[in-house]
Amino acid sequence: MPTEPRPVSLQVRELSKSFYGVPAVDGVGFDLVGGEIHGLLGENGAGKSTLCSMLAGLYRPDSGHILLDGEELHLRSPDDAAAHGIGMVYQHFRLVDSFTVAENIVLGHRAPGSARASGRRARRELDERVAQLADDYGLEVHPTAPVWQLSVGERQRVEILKQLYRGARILILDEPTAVLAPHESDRLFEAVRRMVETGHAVVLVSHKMQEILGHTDRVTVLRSGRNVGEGATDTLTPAMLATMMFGGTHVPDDDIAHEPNEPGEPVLVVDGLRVAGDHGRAAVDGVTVTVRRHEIVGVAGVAGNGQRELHEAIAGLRPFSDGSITIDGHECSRTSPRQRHEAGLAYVPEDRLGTGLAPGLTIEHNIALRSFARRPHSRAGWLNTRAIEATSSRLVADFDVRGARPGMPVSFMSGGNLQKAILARELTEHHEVLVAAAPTRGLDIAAAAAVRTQLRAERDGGRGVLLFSEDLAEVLELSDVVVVMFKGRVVGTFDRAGADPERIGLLMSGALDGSDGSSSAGDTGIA
Amino acid sequence: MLSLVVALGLGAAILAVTGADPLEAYRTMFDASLNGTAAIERTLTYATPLILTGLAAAVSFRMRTYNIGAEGQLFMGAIAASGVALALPADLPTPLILLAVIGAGAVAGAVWAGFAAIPKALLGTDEIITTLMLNFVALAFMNYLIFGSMSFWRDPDRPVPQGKQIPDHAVLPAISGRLHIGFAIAVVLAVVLWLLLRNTTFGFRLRTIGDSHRAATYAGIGVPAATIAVMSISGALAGVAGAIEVSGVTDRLDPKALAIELGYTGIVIAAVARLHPLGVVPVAALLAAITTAGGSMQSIGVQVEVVVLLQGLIFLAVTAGEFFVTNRLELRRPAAAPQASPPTPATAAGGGGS
Amino acid sequence: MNDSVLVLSIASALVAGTPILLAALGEIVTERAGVMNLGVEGMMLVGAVSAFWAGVHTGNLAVALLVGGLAGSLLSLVHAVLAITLRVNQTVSGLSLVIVGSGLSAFIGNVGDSPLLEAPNGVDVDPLLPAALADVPVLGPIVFGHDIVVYLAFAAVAVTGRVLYRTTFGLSLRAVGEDPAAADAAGLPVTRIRYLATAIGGFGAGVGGGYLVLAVLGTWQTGMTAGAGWIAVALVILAGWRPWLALIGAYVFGALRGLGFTLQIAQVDIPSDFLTMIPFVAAYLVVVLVSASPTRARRVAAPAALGEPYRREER
Repeated sequence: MPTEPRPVSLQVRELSKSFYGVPAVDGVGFDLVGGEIHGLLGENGAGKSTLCSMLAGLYRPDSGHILLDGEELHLRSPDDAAAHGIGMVYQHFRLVDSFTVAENIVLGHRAPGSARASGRRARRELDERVAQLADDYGLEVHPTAPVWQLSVGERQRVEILKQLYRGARILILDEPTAVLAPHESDRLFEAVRRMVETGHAVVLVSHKMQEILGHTDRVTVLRSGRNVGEGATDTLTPAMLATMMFGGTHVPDDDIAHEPNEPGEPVLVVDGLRVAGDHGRAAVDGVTVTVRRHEIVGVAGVAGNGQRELHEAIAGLRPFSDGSITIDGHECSRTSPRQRHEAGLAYVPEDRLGTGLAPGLTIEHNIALRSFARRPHSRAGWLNTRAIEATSSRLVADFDVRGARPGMPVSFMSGGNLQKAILARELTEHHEVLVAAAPTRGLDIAAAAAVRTQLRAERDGGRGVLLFSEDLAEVLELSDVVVVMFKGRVVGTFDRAGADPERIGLLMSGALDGSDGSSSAGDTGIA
Repeated sequence: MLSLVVALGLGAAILAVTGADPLEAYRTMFDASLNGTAAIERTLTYATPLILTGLAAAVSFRMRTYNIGAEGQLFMGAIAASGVALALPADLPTPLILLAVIGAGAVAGAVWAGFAAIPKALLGTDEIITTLMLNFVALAFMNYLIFGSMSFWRDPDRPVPQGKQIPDHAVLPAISGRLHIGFAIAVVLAVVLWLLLRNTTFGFRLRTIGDSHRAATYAGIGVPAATIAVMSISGALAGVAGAIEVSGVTDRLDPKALAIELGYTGIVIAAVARLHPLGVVPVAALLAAITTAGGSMQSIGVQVEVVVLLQGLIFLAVTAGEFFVTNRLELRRPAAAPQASPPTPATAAGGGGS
Repeated sequence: MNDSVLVLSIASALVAGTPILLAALGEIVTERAGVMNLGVEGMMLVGAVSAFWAGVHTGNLAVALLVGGLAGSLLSLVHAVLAITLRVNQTVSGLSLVIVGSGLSAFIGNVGDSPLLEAPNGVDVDPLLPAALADVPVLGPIVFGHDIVVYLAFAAVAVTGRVLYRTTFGLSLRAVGEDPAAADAAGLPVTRIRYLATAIGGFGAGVGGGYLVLAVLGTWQTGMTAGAGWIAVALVILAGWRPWLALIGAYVFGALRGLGFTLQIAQVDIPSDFLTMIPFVAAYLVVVLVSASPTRARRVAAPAALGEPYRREER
């Protein structure tokens, strides 16, 4: 294993970066040394990603200094950062899907001597080196597999190997566990431990306090782009961290009592659905789920196990080959998205801008997206602009959507407000069942809590909710029934009382075979 | 409009390079195209088909469906219109005949566009390629009717290949001098299209699709149907341009007088007008002025090619200008709270947006 | 035997297909890097008029084609600035290139003291190999009887294929076309690679235009490409962005363009206007058929980020 003679050290001083005059990072500093894991804690929107992007050479700081081993760095590009041994693993992986693992690892890397390496020998040497690195850190991958075939966990390993292959001494991991099953996260942290043991420095970016407390040596806390605290991890308590993260502001209480429900008749029945993915393979392979009134069914699973294809198929955005979909008693298998909507389906898609909202159009237009062809928004084909504006301003007020201005494209609004705008439209339309995909992803804690409250209100109001989330804690907190998806199949079904996080985590990562009757549920509403 | 000034400046530089006095050249252009009733009539007459092809491009580009087949749709419209004009009995009332002539042009243009629209809607076939290929096919077909055969359209009494003259009752009445009522029709259609885009549910659908296909599908808007509808409207407008040219200017199916890139120029016009139907009218008039002036400039030693080049430069300047408009929008971005998932201004890729 | 209709048609198909092939190869490189340049027709015209001008003045084929290629590259850089740096809509930008190209080529060709219009061709394009080889039955005219450009175009296909799939440069170029964000994160200069790919595309179109005017037509006429550039654009899609398939396609289109000549010899009476139509009808039909193919191979083959501008500070 490669060992650094002298531990690497990185000092960040007074780093600032603004976008369109809005500071995202404002005078942040911290120290990093080889052999330690440094936690960067803060809630969504605190500036963590922006800070890391500057360290990785992707963004240029407006002001401030980055010192590597005492020397000031002026990083111009990711290439530049890599040359100084700084590597970043982004939350959204930066891998070319159609390329193989090996191709992704060598991409853009100009190793001395291998400049035009294209021969078989060079290929073999590469494979050997990758295999060696993978072995050293416990990060197995198949060098010749195309990336699109890999699971999220495997892709992450490729990203890490890519940085190690390039000789990164400082590794920045941006929310690495957000997309992993618990079991996979443990494996990741083992690999990270091995890295720091060999002299690497690791920055672990996260908004999860427990993760930071459990796996780091030092912590720096960010809030609204500023440093609000730091220290050795073993001197800090969850309460101290929470105070730093949220300051004096009131943290919305997420633990509203979950009233026991009396599920009603089914409002969404998905039966034996089979859906092809983008590469032609079956992404959803015979899924059956029933959602009843007064019930939240949560789909747990690591991203890329067919959830997206499943909810897109339910909404009518993706064709499916086998199975059927029934919405509030209406057979909707072969109907258009509009007919499904009319049958009683409301849908909050994963993609807020581009699917849920038309990014270049105004809030008024987007609010009317479902209802423009009906009265009072139009009559005999003519739009009633005044009525549309009235509806829009009413919903904007009711749902507390901020940052919208008449005539301004919605793409300029923040993620939380985009989500509120989508909910405002979907929930005011007639519906019996709500399908919500990753509804709180990327939202700050207040916005996320507001969304969760809406989902609960839907359930308590007698409608059914099908919730897709990669955040297992969220699924467990909200759901009456938990369905676990792995490789396009339902591998486990649990009622609320019987939902064992550990078991679900294992099912999510495929470590446990769900087919041997693992379901602990008695009557869970799953046909 | 700033783009126009830039382009005219570049044009002046080119004129200077070729040895002409730019000021004199532009003055000559002005005299020839705008100075005096006759000049204005000539310019507006020439602008008429350009307004229609400009509208054809604007409406389809608005939905980010790129019909660049106005050229061919215009030819097919002209063929159908002249055919109907030649075939209809003279004893029908004139308004009916004119309606039939223009209607035939519209239908033919729409059908020709349909050859691109239907594969696009059903199979996702790239409409840029298909509309273009169809342009060349339509041109060859029109040439065949007049130069390659003794067809119904060809004048049998002339040794030199020429289209048969259409009867007087199928000729568009004049508004003033040379300017025929087709100009009024074009302006009315511009207004109709503007209202259609702005105030109807159809326009709402079209603008949604133009901004985001996925959002439109999600919202239950039938994208294939809208694609066929928009392409048909676009083709019909180009077809009407062909009909009006035959019935108002050339009096016969005259390939030489029709194949002067009216369709492609329409794309330039639509771009300069930022895909706004009402903007198309003045821009078409301006480009018509430049073009009608082209001939007159030969008298002062400037060749017609300069005019073509000038058009290209205008297009280029306007295309580049798109960037600055988009960016100004971004700089005006309000002070929203920063978020973890940054919003992506999606307007950059728009064919002109609002 | 060597003057049989079939042999001559195949031989002429290779010649007629070469300009389309060169332009299509260039466009493949451009599009593989994620830049869609629809301005091929315009770049071919400018390349043609420049090559013809250089031919008249130097009489040297290599110089003439080089000038044509560079002129095409120069014009393509306009598209690069608009599409890559200014991030304007690539469709509109490409179209503007066609209009500018046709205006500019007409201007260069017809304006000035000694217009190129109807000027005699300054370059002799001779067969590369000794005449004896060209006399070999059947193979002679088809394989051995051509000028150097036909062989070079063939070689260019092999080189392009190899560079795209077997070199780190090719890997980088395709990465930029598939996922510029990933390429950027991997340290690749996305903008520079896209500029280079666009310029290569312009060079291909320029040389193609040059060869068309010098070797196939022999005289400069305004708008003389008559849609060849658009055929090349269609061909890129038909070939699924693969050089070797483009080669086959280009020769097929060459054959279709030469069909009039063939049928004339065969004394089949078809109006010349219909002959003109044939390549365009064929291209139309094939584009539609390809998009109807159930395998959807076409969509998988298209570079994932084709036509999408990239910017780093995505805020």
